[in-house]
Amino acid sequence: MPDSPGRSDTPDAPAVPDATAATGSAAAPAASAAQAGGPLLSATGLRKSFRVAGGNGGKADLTALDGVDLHVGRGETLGLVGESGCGKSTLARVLLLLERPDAGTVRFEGTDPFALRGRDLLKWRRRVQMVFQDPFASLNARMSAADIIGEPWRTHRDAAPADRDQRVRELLDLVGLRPGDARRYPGEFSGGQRQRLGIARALALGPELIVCDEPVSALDLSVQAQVLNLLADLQQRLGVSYVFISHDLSVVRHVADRVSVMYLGKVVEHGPTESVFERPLHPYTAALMSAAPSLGAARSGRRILLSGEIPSPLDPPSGCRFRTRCRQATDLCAETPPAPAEVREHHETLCHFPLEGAPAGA
Amino acid sequence: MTVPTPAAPPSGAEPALEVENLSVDLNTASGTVRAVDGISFAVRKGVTLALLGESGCGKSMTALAVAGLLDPVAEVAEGAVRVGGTDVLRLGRAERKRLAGPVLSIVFQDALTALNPVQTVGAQLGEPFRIHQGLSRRKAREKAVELMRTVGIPEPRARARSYPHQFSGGMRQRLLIAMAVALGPDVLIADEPTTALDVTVQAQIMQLLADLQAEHDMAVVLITHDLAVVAERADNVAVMYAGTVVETGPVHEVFAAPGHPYTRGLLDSVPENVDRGQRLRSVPGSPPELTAIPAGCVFQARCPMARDRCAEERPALTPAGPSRAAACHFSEELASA
Amino acid sequence: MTATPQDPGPTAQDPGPAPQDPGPAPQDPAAAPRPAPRPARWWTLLGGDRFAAAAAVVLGLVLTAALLGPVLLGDAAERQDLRASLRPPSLDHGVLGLLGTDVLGRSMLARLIDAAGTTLSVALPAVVCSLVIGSAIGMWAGYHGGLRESAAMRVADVILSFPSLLLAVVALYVFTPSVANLVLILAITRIPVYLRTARAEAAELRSRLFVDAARTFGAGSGATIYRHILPITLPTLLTVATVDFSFVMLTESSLSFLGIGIQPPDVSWGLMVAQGRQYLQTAWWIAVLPGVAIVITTVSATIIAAWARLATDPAQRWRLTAPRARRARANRGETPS
Repeated sequence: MPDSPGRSDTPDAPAVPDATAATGSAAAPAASAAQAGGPLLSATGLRKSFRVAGGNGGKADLTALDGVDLHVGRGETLGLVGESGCGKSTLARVLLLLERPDAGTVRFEGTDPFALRGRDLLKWRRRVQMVFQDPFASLNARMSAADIIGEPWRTHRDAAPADRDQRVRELLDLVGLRPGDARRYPGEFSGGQRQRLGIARALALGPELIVCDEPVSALDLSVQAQVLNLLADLQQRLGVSYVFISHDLSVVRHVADRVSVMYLGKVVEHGPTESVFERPLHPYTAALMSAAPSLGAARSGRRILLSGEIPSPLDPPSGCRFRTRCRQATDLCAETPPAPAEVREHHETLCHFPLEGAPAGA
Repeated sequence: MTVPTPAAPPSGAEPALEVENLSVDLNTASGTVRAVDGISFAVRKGVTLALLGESGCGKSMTALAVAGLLDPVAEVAEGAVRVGGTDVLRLGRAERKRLAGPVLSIVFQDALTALNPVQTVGAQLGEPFRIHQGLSRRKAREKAVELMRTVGIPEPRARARSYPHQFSGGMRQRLLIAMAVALGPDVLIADEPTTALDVTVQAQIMQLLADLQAEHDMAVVLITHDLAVVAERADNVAVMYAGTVVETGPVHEVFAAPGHPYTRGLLDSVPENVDRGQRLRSVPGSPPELTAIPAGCVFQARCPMARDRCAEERPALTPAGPSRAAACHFSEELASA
Repeated sequence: MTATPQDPGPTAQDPGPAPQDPGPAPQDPAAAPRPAPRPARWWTLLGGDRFAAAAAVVLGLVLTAALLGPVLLGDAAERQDLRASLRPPSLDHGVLGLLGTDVLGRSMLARLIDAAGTTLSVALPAVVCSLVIGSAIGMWAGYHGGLRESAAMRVADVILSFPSLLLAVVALYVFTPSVANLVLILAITRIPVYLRTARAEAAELRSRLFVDAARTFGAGSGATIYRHILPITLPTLLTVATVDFSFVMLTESSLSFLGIGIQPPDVSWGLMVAQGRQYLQTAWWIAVLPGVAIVITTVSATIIAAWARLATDPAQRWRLTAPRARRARANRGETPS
């Protein structure tokens, strides 16, 4: 919402006049610089809203991203967690230049991909690729596996290998499919195999960063483990970075080095995986972890059950976005949006009353 | 709102639902295949049995067979489904209809398609009362409003005039549950009731189901692919694979010491059990096509302990201890390993 | 450290028949190992479908007649013989008398063959032109959306809002009635049909994930349309085109009947129907035979279009290679699932 009372608390939003209520634009890059010697990708103050048909026949603005910051180092995995409508998929689409943000900047090794044109843009495209959630819809059912994997080379002719068939076989082998599978069509593969195919396609151009949008949520558990292992292997072998988007906390906890928790278009908590999962600072993170069912039979007996559901992003609450479902919300929360605060080292949250040291759900 | 996790299962005598040697044939594009192959289980009142399995293992088909909703895609080939002692598969259409609601009901996964989009939810929720108890429209609506209140829908009187699309996913699932428990059934089948929902809403819905179960003393068959949901919400579990039950028993015993390599493989695949950066011990391969179920053990091709015997002879579900059973030739070996 | 995956990969051990098998086998346990991994050649597929094969033969005959007819027949189509006027079809008067004669004693068979050339030379170019232009604009408009879409759709609406026959009548009175003008008019009036179909399909496909995937590689809009939108939209457009083929033939005959289409002594099937109408009571074959020619040609084209729709879809192709009996069952079974 353009007029939400959050304009005042970002004195340091660089070059973006409208980057309001950005989560710690100063702290975040600093943290990453300390970790990875300059981030591969960083985004600052990203905002994106869509015009949609409103309730009473008029138009309304759906705020999908409201001042999101993130940064990913080389060979690192950033986990993005959130429930439906929190903006995590929109964020992925912005990072892949499928959507243009209304405000905010994206920097990939210092360059702004949105400013690139022509050959430079094509060159940039090779460095960032995406793995989609739905392994059924993201593959064209009329193309054979070889055509699907080789499709990027039809656009990037200068990046195409001399022997395409050979390279296709190598890629199939890399993702655990057989060379003979090249001639088969998506309909003949199982869900897990299709997702491997999607990963092979993302690898065809040799990217440095892969944005994985719920890559395993459509897969069965036993197959999900295979794909997670594959992604981990590829990271070790090829040194790629991941932005790993998921609603499944146990998956994110397993793969991510750092985690950002999103709620209604904002990153409400961000920090190293261990720190976030062991000692969450934001009440939403704590509730999310408590709500997620767990195999660990020794649950402490009480679970935080959030009341209600996520408010409509068409009409987000004033002040703190989470206050309508938060047990400890006060008048302050309704009036003033909280500013990002680094409570522990590299671990920051967007809450007036962070749960320092409160026990986690497990 | 903070609530305690549900207590240990109360015990009853007679099973409210007993499925015996049930087989279901599915008509597909390339002929008839057996989707469910001779499975048996029983649930007592007040107890939750989880049917656990991955997509295509036949768990939903089992639910539809029990609820008598298979037509026209599939049909029961053999077996018995006894609800309160009577075999519902032998009943005629009309008698069967009388059972649907007061005795046995089902909650579906997809709440949007399970509700009629052009009828108000008040009218839909009142329908069971009009059909089974012959109530007037007005009285049925009163009952509907009451039901909506019990399943936690705010302002039920006003919301009863709304249409399904005006509710959020979680609220729609509440409506479906309300409809299913309207007539206080003895047996409730919940087919992936929370799969389409967010985690925080899923927790609310599961809690609602547990509360209603305690209130009505229902036997619940919870169909799910989520091990964690089973661990938290079910008393007993039947693990299904390729149309057969490969292991049954109390959840905490089965998950603590699985008697079938598939159960073990599933548990090992859960990222929660493995440290970050460590490899997950996945089950290699994928489940067999229903058209190509192997002759011997259904799991042999993905099993780390498969031997010659597994290819030749299908292991029967053999009891291991007082309440457990597993369909594996080498389950003792697995337990001791 | 080098990650050598302990996980052998799913397919390495996958036992199911699916991985080895290219085509229909996943659904088909009966079809034993099929060594050739290549998809079947299109003529093999065509041979497997009796109707499609027959339709192809008919279309081939019509085309051959249209191309070679004038060479083989010489002036047989124009040779008048008043003594032989209105002879019914019979075997007594040689090959040319096989289908009878018209009022001027001209051989019907020769005239039908002659007319085939004229008819196709009007209908084919008209259909192809409108198909190519309409589809191109439609896919472009649908893929981009927004202003371009609105502009293209308004133009289509304007063209459609005139009855196409009226438009043709006006235009052909203004310009000289010639085959080229006739083709041009028919093509323009039929463009909206393809434009709207192509736009609707493209607009739906544009939001598909594989189109997004292509955009993440940096594929331009032209390349994306060519690679993803066109192959999926084409079968639908071809089906529309075959239906439209008959429409164009009939429009041409109406215009010819009004005297502004094909000018005698040239002859088309439509013109023959029009001219034969007054003899319907006395000599039915003059009007009926060219009518039958139109019907057989369009029905054949429709059958071929339906076949091509299946043959170009990898997920549907198996239907053409599966044995006939099973296919019949599949067609019955596919609706409920």
